[in-house]
This record gives sequence, structure tokens and C-alpha cells, in this order.
Amino acid sequence: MLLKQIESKIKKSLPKCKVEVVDTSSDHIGHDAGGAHILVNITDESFKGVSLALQHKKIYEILDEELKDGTIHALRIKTRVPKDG
Amino acid sequence: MDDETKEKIENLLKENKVVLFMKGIPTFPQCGFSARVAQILKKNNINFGHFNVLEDDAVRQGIKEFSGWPTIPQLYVDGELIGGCDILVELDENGELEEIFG
Repeated sequence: MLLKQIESKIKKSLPKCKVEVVDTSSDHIGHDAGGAHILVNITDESFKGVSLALQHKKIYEILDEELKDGTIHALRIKTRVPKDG
Repeated sequence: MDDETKEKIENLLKENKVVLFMKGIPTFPQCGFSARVAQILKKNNINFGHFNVLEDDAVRQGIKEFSGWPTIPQLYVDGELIGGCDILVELDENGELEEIFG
């Protein structure tokens, strides 16, 4: 299943992250893109002190293959730094 | 990306402090994401230069390579990539735009 595949791929690169992968394709009915619309919500320590652009870039890099081959048509990303506990 | 395209992009980034690479132009955007970013900038009274990538395929492909960022729109401040639509929406919602553009 695509969502699991994306999740495990992200976890492989960022083992300590908390990640939620959501299929938002149903928001785009009537717009036949041929690929999935995906939302990634992710919290990771490595984002601390890093610009949003670089945080998002990291996720783009991890999912480069899926973005290039069209498996993922659109990717939205929400990154967070974990709150100090 | 050839040297000519790279130079063109570097010059565009030098011409204005804030540059938006977008599809269409601010008054007639041709993509929802480009429209949204232009709208956020206008709403916050931020002056910006723009470049319509639909009119130049070399820049359209080159800018993705230039920054390692796979999508358009792309917003740059002082030659540095701030991000695309998601990031601008987030910065706007968090009130962090002023810090960047101030």
C-alpha cells in the first residue's frame, strides 16, 4: 500500500521521526492526475534550527523517485520540531 | 542546465530583493499555487519581482535544478530560496513573514 510504503521510506531516512501520511486524493475529484495527492505530517529532531525550505527539501529528496515517476502527483508537507520534554 | 540559463537565473535574483518564479503573472496567475503565493505577498504589502516560467522553458526546468526544489512557485529573498506555496501559507499563518521580509 502506497501510504505505508511512503511512511517506511521516510522512517528509514529519519528513524526517530513521528510521521503521518495522508491520502488527500479525494479532495481533488474530477482532476485526473494519474497519481496520488499526499500530505505528510512529520516531526523530527533534525529539523531544529533548519529553515523550512531545507526541512521540506529533505522530504522531497526522500520521495524523489515517487515524485519523478508520478506515483505521487502532488505532495504537501507539514514539518514540526518536537517540543522539548 | 546550461551556463546561459544559470546566469539568467542569477541575474533575476540580483535584480530584486524578493523574486517569485511563478506560472503566469501576479495579475493573471495560471496556477492555483502561484496565485496563492502572489496573493499572500500582496496582502502583506511585500514588493516582489516575478518571472513567468511558462514563457521560458529553460528557466522553468533550470530553476528546479538551481535550488534542488522540484516544484513551482518558488520564492527567493536575497537570492535564497524561502520555499513554495505550503511554506508561504505556513509563514503567513504564523505571522513569521515580517521576520523574513522586514
